[in-house]
Amino acid sequence: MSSRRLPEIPKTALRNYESSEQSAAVWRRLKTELRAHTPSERRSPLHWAWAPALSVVFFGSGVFVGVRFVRPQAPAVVRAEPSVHALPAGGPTSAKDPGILPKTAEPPAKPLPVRARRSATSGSSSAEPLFLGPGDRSPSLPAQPAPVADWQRLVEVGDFTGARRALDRQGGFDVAIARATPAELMSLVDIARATGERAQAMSALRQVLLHADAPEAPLAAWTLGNLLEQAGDQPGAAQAFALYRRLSPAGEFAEDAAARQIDVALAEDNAELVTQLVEDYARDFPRGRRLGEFRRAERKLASSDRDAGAKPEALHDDPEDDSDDVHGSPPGAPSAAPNHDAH
Amino acid sequence: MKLHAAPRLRLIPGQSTPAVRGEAADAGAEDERLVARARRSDLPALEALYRRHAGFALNLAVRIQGTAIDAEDIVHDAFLKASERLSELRDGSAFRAWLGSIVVRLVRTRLRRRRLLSSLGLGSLEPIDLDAIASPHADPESRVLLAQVYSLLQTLPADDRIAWTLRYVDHHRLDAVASLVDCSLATAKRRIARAQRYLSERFVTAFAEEES
Repeated sequence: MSSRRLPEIPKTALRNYESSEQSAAVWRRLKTELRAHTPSERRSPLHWAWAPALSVVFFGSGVFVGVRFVRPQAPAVVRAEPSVHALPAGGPTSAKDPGILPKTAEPPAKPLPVRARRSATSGSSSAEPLFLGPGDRSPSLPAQPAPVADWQRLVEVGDFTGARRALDRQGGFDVAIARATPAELMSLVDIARATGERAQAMSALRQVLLHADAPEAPLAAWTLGNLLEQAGDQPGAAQAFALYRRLSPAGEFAEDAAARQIDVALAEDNAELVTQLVEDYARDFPRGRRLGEFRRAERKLASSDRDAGAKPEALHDDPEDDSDDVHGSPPGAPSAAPNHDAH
Repeated sequence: MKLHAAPRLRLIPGQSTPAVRGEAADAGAEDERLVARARRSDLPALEALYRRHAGFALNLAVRIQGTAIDAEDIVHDAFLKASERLSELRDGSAFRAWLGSIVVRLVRTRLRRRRLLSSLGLGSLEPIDLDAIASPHADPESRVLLAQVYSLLQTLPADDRIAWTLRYVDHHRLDAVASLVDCSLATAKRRIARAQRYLSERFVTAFAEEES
């Protein structure tokens, strides 16, 4: 035996974990946690600082309402389906776009602390072209408890094709959609996207949007917008992005959603809408990454409208239109950073 | 017993042929696309990223630690952290290196904690798990080499041990080592040299034919 210079450790002498069972096991754990970490949960810690204050306010309001209005003999009312009108209070554009949401004959019931699981046979809301087309209606279901869903177990391990087969065995995708909670619906969206069924993915996303108060709703609106855009339905995509902004005005994709609305309006050469949306964008995102770009596009569209010569007097409409160019591009903003690659 | 007083660092031959560079560029571009999607909470994109790099992360964790204990937890935590901080990653094509640096940080924390607990008498250093490190097809000489190197590495400070392992076990370039351990190139070189000197002074061969 002797001491010596270290020989090289050959790569072939080392165990390789590139295709190991361990990594698959880790993914099974990770997937659940990643799904639980929705974008809204990743916001700044200040977001959560409001929670205790809100709890106190709600508690105080409850006590006040209880003392003033509760009658002991009043029967309990249980709502089987959440109101499709249920939007976050104070949504900035809630009154601007009445056509985006399904309409109901009755006013929305008071929110209850516990929401009953949605039933497929309860169809109190009327159909709305974007989110509840006739083809998207869920079929009637037998009144039996849902079996343990194999497809969910397969989704958990990342086997989307197997999950698809299991779904087909258990009555099909549409039946599963009708029974699913918003979280399960998002899993169904994953299955549909993974197996190339875009229409079914959109159908599941629309179902999620019926649960407007579910934490999955904003992401569903965003994803639906992306899918509609991919499918060439630009107006539909713009509506979905608008809905996202309404559901999550300060959400991670709010700026991008606003930008995508403007992109659609620009593509349609809708100068009036572009102007309105750019103003909204400038107000909501004064340091928006694409503000300068949109200002320029807005001016270009307006000038091309004037050049078309529809009305001679229009030439005199806005002589100072070109003067605010410097305001359009904030000094710190990147030149052009369209963020359209997430579909 | 013959001691080598003057340790020498051996340079690993460069492996970046044009073909390899092209593959790396393609992989980087794919990572960039996936990262862009993953930033928008696209789960399939996250899964694709995971499947592309989980093996690399596991290899890294096991090889630095010398045991597979908690390696899965480290990879799990690293990927979770990475997914939560994707917005901090400026260059999506550098995802692999970035994930690697997170793994290295987690392993270093764990090594230090184990050592601290051991020094306080609250635990013992984990034994080297040769089966976790060595390939089942490794020849006996390689297994002996690995066993001895890892038992020596256990006695080194965590930073030196990590830098040397990344360089001579996982075969990373010097600049990659510096990036993975988040230090300057000069510091990385110093750590590797210190570990190399230590190992060379103590390494003993058991094979008579190599003495010649």
